[in-house]
Amino acid sequence: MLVFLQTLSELYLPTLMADIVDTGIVKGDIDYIIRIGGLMLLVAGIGTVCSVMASFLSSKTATGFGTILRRKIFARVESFSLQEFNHFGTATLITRTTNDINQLQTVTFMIMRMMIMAPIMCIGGIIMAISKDRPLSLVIVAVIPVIAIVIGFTMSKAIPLFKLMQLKIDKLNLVLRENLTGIRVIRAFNRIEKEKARFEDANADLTENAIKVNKIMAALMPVMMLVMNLTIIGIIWFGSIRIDHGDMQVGSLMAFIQYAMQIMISLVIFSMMFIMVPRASASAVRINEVLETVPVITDAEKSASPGTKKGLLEFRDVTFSFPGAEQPALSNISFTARPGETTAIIGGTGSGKTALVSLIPRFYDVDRGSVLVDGMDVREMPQSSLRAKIGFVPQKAVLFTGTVTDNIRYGKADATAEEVRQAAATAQALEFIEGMKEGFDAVIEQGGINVSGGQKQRLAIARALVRRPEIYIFDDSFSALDFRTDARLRGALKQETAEATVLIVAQRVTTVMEADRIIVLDNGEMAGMGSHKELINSCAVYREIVYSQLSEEELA
Amino acid sequence: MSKERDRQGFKGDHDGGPRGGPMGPLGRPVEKAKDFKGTFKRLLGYLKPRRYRLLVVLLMAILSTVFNIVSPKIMGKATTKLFEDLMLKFQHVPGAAVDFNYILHILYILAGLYIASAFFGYLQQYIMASVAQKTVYDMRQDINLKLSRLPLKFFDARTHGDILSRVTNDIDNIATTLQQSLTQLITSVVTLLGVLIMMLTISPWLTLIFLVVLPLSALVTKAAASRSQKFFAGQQKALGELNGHVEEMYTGHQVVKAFGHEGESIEKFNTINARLYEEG
Repeated sequence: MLVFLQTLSELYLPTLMADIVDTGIVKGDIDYIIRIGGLMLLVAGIGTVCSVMASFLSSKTATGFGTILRRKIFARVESFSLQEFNHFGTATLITRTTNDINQLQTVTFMIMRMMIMAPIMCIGGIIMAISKDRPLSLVIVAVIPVIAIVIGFTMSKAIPLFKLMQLKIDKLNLVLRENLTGIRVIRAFNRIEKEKARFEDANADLTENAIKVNKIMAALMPVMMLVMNLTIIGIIWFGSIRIDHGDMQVGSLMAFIQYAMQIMISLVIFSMMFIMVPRASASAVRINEVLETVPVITDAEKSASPGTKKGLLEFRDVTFSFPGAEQPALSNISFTARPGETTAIIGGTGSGKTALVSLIPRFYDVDRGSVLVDGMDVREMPQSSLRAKIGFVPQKAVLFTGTVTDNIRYGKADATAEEVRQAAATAQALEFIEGMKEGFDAVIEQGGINVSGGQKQRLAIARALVRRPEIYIFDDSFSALDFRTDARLRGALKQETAEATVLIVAQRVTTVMEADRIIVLDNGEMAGMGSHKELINSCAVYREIVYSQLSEEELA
Repeated sequence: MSKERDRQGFKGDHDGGPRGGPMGPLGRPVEKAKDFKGTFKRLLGYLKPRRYRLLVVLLMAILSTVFNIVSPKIMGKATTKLFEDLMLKFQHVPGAAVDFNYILHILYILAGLYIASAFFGYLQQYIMASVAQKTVYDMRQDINLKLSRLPLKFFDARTHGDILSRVTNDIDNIATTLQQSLTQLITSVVTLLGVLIMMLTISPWLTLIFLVVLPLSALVTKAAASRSQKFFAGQQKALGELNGHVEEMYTGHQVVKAFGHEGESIEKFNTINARLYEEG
């Protein structure tokens, strides 16, 4: 409505001007000029007020739209299991939640401001032009198809290239991301030169395409301007003939020129939509992809009553493969871990250790077999109550912005200061926490960049300890600790976790040697299970690992 | 380039993520570069190998704009002539008629000027396309080279998303700016000068009035901008906080899940999001 008013006032102005010229100037009526001039100012003022208000409202609406969309997408991503999450990847999810939504928000605003105005202006301009002088409107009628053809031709060339461009940007992103995630491997195997060439190819490809697009787009504006200006020349020419015959007045001609300009500018704005919409639609598609992804892991509709065997963990003939993988990450795994026992899992990189422990908090669902906690299948339990039983220490220790206490309390929101301190002490973190200036109130920065890797791991362990869960899972959580801290930590843990079921994933033999049960994984299969002594005699894979790490005397 | 500057350049701003509101470019407080002079110098360094082409672009822009500015004056000649002849005709001066030959002559000149202006405008954009894109090509190439030399510690301290967004988003912004804003800047300056000169030749008095009004409108713009800056600052702060929260929660997704903190995380997100709306 406001936009409508604004457009109307803009359309009215040339007519008023025509009146001034035709009636005022020609007759030399100063009074009339001033009166109509005042009216023009008023109309212009109304137009401006409408425009400002329209802008304000459009911006509120667009922001509101963005806000709702953002809330939806974030809630959806939070509900994702690791399966969907890793399908997308962290970086693109971040872009989708932030950048893509901002893009859509901006385009919504533009559409509301411009796209509503352009058609009104165009149609209104045509009506006004015809009312001023019908025969002269034929010039505009003749020019509009020309403009349409110019726009159509440019767009038909440019839009495929725009789409291609998005693909090439994605390609460049892909190469770069692979370079980032695989940086260690790339450096270790000296593949830097090869990767550099790959990047260069993708980069050159993208650049070439971008130049092509921009060269095509370069023609659009000058050509449009040219058509517009030539039209005006045409109008002046035909107009002056008509004026000479006395069919038209000079003021009308000037107004007519303005209407012609308005019509053509609105067409140009309209053509901009063809550029903006494909870009926005790329964002919309990316957002939709997220919103349409339904988490595979959901709570069972009716969850059975909780099992009675507290802390009991059982794998029954479990086979599992990551989505899209050809080979199963785990096949036919069966074992039982009881409260008070420590079960260690050892094996080389990619042997399936992390996959195994990820199944316990139901980050993924098994393909075959079942995982039982407290004697109950994890799929029948609500995720929240399942995870409440588990203290999980991930392979990559992640901390959040906040104080040390905040981070430890993440495990148990209502933990007392004493409990927090106790957990930190067990995790061997007390020493360095107290070494910090603010102690437990020291602030951990985003991503935990102000603490070392080992300190991060110890805080992550304290975070799990403070929950006092039935089941502890340490996924290679001691790797950044030196041997002495590692040993001290395991000693303290033993007392703390005496009544709980403990799972330790490790690569170091010293970490697992004292476990009640050691599971040896090799390529997703169980190569052996038993105590250190049993395995050293019976299991070849285990023996190999042990010999590669320990010296003769340590073995004895 | 000193090592220190490298670090500064990369540390510039850490809440990451591209910004943008729906409010258009008026007075938006852009992320301020810590070391503006250094950054600018570096950008010039990238443009240096292409300075001859840029000179051509500059020349084209000037030519295109000059032709564009001259034409209204010439068009004015046509309309004035038309008007004068008509007035004479109205007053029934004997022999008065519209001098169509003269008008046609002017219109031909005008058409020529417009065609020339469009042609130069096209050439300018055309050359700028390859200048801008090749410049950012070099930048991307250099970043990649630099990344391959940086110590692993650098990668551990940053999220991949952060690095990726620099190589793609930020560079894309530079490309757009070079392509559009730079030529716009040249055109605007030339137009401003040219229009002033034209106005002076048409009527010095009207120009004087215009020049008196100009600072007034500048004042209004400034007042509006400084007021909106406050809003923008609040909005940008909320946006930065939001982006930070998103980044943190997504990177720690596994931990959020493991400890059942989805609810709290969503709640915090909604709070910041609502504030962003309020400020927006």
